Amino acid sequence: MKLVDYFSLAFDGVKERKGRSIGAVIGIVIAVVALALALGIGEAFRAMFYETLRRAFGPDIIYVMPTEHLTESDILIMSSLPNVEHVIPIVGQGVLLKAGTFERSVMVYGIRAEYLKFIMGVEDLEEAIEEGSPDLVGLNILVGEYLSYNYLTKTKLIEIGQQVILQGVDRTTIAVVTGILKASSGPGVAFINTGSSVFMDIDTFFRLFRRDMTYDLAIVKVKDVNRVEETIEIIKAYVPQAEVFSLKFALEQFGIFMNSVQIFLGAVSGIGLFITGLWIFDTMTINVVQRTREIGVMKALGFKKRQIMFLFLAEALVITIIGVAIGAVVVLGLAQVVGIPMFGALIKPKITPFILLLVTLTPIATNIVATLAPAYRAAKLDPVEALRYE
Amino acid sequence: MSSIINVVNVTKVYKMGEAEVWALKEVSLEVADREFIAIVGPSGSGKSTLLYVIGGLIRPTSGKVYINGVDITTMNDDKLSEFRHENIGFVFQMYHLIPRMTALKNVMLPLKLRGLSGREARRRALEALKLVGLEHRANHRPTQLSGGEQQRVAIARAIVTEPKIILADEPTGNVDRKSALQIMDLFTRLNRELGVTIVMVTHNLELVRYCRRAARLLDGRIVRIYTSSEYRKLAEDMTRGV
Repeated sequence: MKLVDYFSLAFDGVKERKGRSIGAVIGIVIAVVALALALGIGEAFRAMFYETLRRAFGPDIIYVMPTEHLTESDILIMSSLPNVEHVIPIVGQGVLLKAGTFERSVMVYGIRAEYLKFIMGVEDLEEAIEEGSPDLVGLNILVGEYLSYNYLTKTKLIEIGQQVILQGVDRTTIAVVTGILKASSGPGVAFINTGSSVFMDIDTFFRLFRRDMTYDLAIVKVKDVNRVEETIEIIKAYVPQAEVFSLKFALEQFGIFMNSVQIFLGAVSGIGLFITGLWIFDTMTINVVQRTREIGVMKALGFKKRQIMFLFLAEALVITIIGVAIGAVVVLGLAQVVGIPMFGALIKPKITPFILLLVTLTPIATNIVATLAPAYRAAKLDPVEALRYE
Repeated sequence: MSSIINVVNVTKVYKMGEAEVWALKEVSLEVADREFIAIVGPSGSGKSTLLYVIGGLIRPTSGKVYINGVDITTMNDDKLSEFRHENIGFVFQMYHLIPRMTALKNVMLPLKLRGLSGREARRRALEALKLVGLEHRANHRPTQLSGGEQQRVAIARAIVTEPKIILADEPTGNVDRKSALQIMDLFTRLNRELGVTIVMVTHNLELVRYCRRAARLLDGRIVRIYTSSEYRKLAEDMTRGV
């Protein structure tokens, strides 16, 4: 018997039981849509965070995160290691910024002016200045664009040259705003949100907020990106109290995390597929019972066991393919309009070819497995008993 | 005339829990090629069981069944299915047409199983329907046909693969008298003109006159085989139940 004839017979069977078939198709559509959207949202998050990590790290960057603090000698040692171009120490402190009536909790970072351009991702710091000048000396500070301007009321919050109060836990000081930094989209290098942070000269910062002159983090820029792993090992040997990792490591770790998240999301939405499988099992079991005499006739005509089994599997396959096809169209449509609001943007599900393949093959496999038992029962029916079935 | 069906000492025992039901007891029957034979007997005498044993739908507990000289009792299920498809056509009392299919599609089904193209299957199915006088009803579903017409479609389905043997189980048991006679005329034509061997189970002695011989079963045994000249005796024996 030709394959096309199996499917033609199967399609006739599906048409005959319209009610149950439509029910099964709707179930498959819902399951496919739920699974695809769950995986698509996971994929969108993965893509967004990968992009963030890439922006924050860069292939030639190594992060050194101490369990306590890094000292100046740690920075000097790392600077002298082979393949290290330079080391950017970073130190920060949460403070309350007061500018007239405006008050906001912010992070103030102590950094050398020559390294701030690196944090801002520009060649020349002038390029990162929205307004004012990049002079980072003494009590001069640079503030992020989001601190200086209220986009809702369209009013200026901080002016160039304005004196502001930085109120720390132990110390309060007055600083002068010399420049407004342009906001970049999303967190930048070292996950510093430059649009909402304050930057000051590192020596001033130490004097005001960190008298032990220790650092919270160091960013190591290497000369040869092909030797990043080797450089990490060397840094680990010299700075054993710190976690040392690169973009590759971060991506790997994040990938493992996201895989777990996606497996979880897939498993939760996969319950729908399981229920659909049960529905198909139920439908096909009833189908076999209702068509017992027909199976007897087929056996009398010379149908073999495997041919009868395949007829029922083909029927499940026809229902599933219709459901998957409709589901795929619905998914591709919904992916354009639904999303989760985050970081001021709408994260839309990212339906990759792999997700489409997965949501196509999984219901097919599930429903074939669900049909195996009833199909096998049909194939095993005694022909004469089947013919006499009332 | 050579024999096309040879049933040798066939016994069929059904186990019902602890009890055993002997449906056939050492039955032997030889059917000649191109013969039209009836199997008669009261209900429960084993007529249908014998028919299905000949057709390979029931495996005998012991004994042999040769079709065209081939022992079908030793074949595995797949071989037996193939053999049945190639050599035997079944006609059932309840027609057993597939309700969702038109008459044409029902008749095409065995040809589809054979792997014929749609066009060729359609051509041959229409020929078979023409032979039973129903080509004008080809696109009707079984529910749109009378009992007699449904049975003629079932006969068309049985003959469309040009089998050597037709096994008919009470083919007129569910139709009116006029349709029954039409069906018997059709069987006679198939037997005489196409040379199809027909084994027909019936309890209607009026139909036996179409057959050259009649084997009478009683309690799972063939008690006597009657020739056409002995049908009056058959009727008497059936009435007396001996």
